[in-house]
Amino acid sequence: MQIKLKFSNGKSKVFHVKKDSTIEDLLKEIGVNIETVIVKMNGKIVPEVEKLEDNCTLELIEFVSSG
Amino acid sequence: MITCYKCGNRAVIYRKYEGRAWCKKHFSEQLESKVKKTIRDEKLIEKNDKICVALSGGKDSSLTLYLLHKFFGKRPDIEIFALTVDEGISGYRKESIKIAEKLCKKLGVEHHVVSFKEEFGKTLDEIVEKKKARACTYCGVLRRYLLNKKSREFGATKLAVGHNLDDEIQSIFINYLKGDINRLIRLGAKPAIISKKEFVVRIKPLRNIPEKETTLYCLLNGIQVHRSVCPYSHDSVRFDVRNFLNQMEEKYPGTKYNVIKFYDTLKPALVKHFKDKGGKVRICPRCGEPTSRDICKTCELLDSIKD
Repeated sequence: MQIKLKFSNGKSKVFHVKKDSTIEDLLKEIGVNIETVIVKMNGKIVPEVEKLEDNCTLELIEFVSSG
Repeated sequence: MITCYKCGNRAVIYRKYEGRAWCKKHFSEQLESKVKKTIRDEKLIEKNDKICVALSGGKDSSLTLYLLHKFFGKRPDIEIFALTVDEGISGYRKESIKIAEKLCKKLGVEHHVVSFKEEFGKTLDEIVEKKKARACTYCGVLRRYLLNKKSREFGATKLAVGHNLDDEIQSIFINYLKGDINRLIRLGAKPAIISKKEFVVRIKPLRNIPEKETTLYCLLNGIQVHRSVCPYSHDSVRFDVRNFLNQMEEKYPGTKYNVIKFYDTLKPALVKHFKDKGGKVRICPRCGEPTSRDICKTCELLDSIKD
């Protein structure tokens, strides 16, 4: 399956993953801790345990401690 | 599709630490209930309180103001206002102040802004440039000083800060790593160890909410927040502790809640044993603010940056 991943800095990259992979699988592969991001799949906020859809666009919303 | 444990609608979050998924509506309701429970159980807010919310414009302080206004905004006996500290961090703070102002305007909440430049004669950028020192040391001490002093001058009985679960357990670890038992026993939703009229009681309504969930609530409920990273934030022990705890939570879900529960269980014993060993609270002869030292830390730091 082909996934387009958009990062907080506006950059994007295409990844190829196995069928039935979850968002969490992909995040682990690219070294992103699920505690530090909220994920949108095709524009909707979804839990990281959701399965990836073929040709979907994922957006990572990173957050930081404010102060 | 992952669905809500309660209603079957599309889920927005799956909490590994409880093994359940929730939709927007039920997630938001639960977060609000948890915050209300903290306020109730810890008696954070009482009749006739005047609450000053320390508002940076970031997600946690914005959510604190939003929820306190939602819960208490119509109570005639409770007053809420916001206070923002402009440390003078170029490319960062100006934008967050605009967002803070916008939220206050939307909610109809009085908003005050105080700055390092006006109060101390220097911005944080200028201090760091001169001292080549860790920005967070200066920023933390001077900001706490201003929040306490100004909220007291504006008549506040409580100072609400946006500390979430992650912030709190990071502080537990940092104090442990530094071996600072006096600071360790001062943590909590309403640290009540020091009772001195010069101290405005600090309250932490979001103390039991993970950082990820404060962010999610803001996103789902249209609360506009400042999302830039403080340019100095990588310059702190907190940054490393945060990464460590996030790694532990990812690998062992529930770690964060275990840490805070363990601390809360241990705290009464720690307080009993160490309360009188932390030095008496007195008044700094230079600035009139409360301190446990002869000269307060703020005055000491201000001395070090004199031209």
